[in-house]
Amino acid sequence: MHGISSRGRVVRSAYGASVAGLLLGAVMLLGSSNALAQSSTVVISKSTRLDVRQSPYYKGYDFYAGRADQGTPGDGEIHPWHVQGNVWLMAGEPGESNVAVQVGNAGVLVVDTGTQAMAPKLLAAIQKLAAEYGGEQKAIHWVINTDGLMDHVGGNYIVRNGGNTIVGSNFQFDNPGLTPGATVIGNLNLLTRIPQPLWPNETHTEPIYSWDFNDEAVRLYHPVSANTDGNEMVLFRRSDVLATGDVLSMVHYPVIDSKRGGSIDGELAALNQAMELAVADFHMGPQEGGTMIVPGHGRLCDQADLVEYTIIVTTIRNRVMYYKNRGKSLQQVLAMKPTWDFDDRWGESTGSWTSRQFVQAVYDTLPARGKGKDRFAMPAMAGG
Amino acid sequence: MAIVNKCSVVVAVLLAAAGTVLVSMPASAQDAHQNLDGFWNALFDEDEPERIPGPDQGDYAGLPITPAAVSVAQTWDPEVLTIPYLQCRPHPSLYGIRGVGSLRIWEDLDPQTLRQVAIHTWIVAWEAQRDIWMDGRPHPPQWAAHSWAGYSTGHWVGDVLHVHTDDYKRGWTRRNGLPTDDRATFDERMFRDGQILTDVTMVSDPEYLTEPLVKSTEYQKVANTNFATYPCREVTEIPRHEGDIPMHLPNQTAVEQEYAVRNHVPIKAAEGGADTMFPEYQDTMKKLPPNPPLRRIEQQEQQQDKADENL
Repeated sequence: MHGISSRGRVVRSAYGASVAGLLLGAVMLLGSSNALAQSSTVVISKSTRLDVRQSPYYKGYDFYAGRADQGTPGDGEIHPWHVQGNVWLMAGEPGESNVAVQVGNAGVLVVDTGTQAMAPKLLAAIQKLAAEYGGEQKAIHWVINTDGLMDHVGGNYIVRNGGNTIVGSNFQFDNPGLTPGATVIGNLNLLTRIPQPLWPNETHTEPIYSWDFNDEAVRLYHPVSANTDGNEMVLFRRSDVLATGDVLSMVHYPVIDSKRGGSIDGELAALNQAMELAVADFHMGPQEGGTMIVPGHGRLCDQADLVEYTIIVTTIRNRVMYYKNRGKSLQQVLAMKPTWDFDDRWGESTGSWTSRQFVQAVYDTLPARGKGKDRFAMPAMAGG
Repeated sequence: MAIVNKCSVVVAVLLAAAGTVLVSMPASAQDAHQNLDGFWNALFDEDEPERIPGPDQGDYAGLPITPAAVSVAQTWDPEVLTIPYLQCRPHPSLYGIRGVGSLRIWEDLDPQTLRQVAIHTWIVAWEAQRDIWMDGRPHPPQWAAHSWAGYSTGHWVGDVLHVHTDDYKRGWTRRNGLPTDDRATFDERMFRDGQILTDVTMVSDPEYLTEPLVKSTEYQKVANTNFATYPCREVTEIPRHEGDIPMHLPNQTAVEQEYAVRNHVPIKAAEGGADTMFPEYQDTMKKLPPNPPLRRIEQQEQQQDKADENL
């Protein structure tokens, strides 16, 4: 090299090598830091062993874990969410109207069918669920209607025709087979509530109606006059899940249709019956979980949420009864706004069910003079 | 020349190896933070009257509560806690950290990277456990169930643990009926100074608080503590009609005013609100109307109870 001594060449070579080494180390360090930063936002699979919610004690109510692709209400899609045992929630209907699905070896049972507009997507989501988690039978065999409102029965036609019913034989024929369409079952009073194409094809009038499906008892409880005179609550006994229909809502006050046989005291009797059916888990302390409840609208809940809702509805009912007992007219009671301190969460001033409509329904369906202490005392429940 | 080349190579290899070693060091050594593990006993100091015996009904001063919260609290009857369904309810974690009882904290580490996956807290009352997820997992969707502990995620900022909790059940900020909605959220800053753990908490509630309710709670580290199980089973303590919910009806106002009158606090001031948090409110208090005599309040309570029973 011109003008560079041999000693200088040694220094330059060593210097160059040092820089190269440092650069190489820096690149490796930077790369690994990036990898670590990325991994901090990803659930590391092996760590799920340490997740206490995966332990046997918590198997029954691991309802906390979120997923990156979990969706949002109103995004136009149906999102299956495992509730407990055989039962899934199909979330995503407009107005947070809930559909519950039981999937097992014997086929699929659907509680309510949501709106007509979402029915094709709902059917597709149910069939996908059955393909993943069903047994030998993957078809929808049963559809239960909890009431006759269109946000719960609008999909009856499409969902029913997506399934089939196993029929038996008689002594003349020895070929049991399938008849197109699932069996839609509901209370007899629904026949006067909904259009004929959406009718249930099997109705009942018993206070409690039961059968076995997917290795568990499925029990239908008919409150005499809750939101309407056609309500059903569905208990999946082994899965320990109660689908209440509109008896319980996590988004608004109970919708009471007095023209269709609904009443506030009947609604409260139904809520109290649901509290009796649900059993909280007291294992390891807090009263939580146990029977999981799928309300007619809104998020999943348990007995504690149901109790809080019942307290709120009872409080409002007792306030209206107090004023009615003292001769206040409906307009006077409306002016006093007996729901005002709960309205921000449960009430609406506009829309299909407002706070004023709720107060009017309470006032109209309360007796002329209430029981002692102005407080609700449950009427005799049929089959309770 | 050969010696020079060999030296250069050795130096380069050593430097590269140093980077590799640094890469493979456990994450916990790279981002060390305070260790909160262990047993902690609650320190009460001036908060003892509220956190142990509890506040009187009608004592809402100094809290940024809405009029709706006051109304719900005035409707609340402590007798409601005798209902079997309510006997085993734990405190929601946004209040539980203030409650009586010792605290245990432990962490879960990923077996491969030793990064924190979760920090767990356990309060002896109702054996209330809370899981603070540290691995960046998303919160549950809107349709998932809510819980007493809520859903907590956290991260470290230096030596301060930042925690955000939502998805609560309907709960309370005080044990005299002041409610929290199930849309309430809870933010915490937890840090340790020697043997003292401090938890600065902020409760936000769109329905019942006009601004965040900020409190601080302290615990002291102990080698071990009296940790007992808390088995709870509901029983019928008071026979009553099924569906009967003890509550105060609209005419029963005297019971709410007794605390204020007995303690010479203006009734309006005892109803709380953000104004009452600040010392300047004393000037406002001087202009408030005087309270009725205690004797009159007691007579009103008796009359209101009697009118109620005669229906």
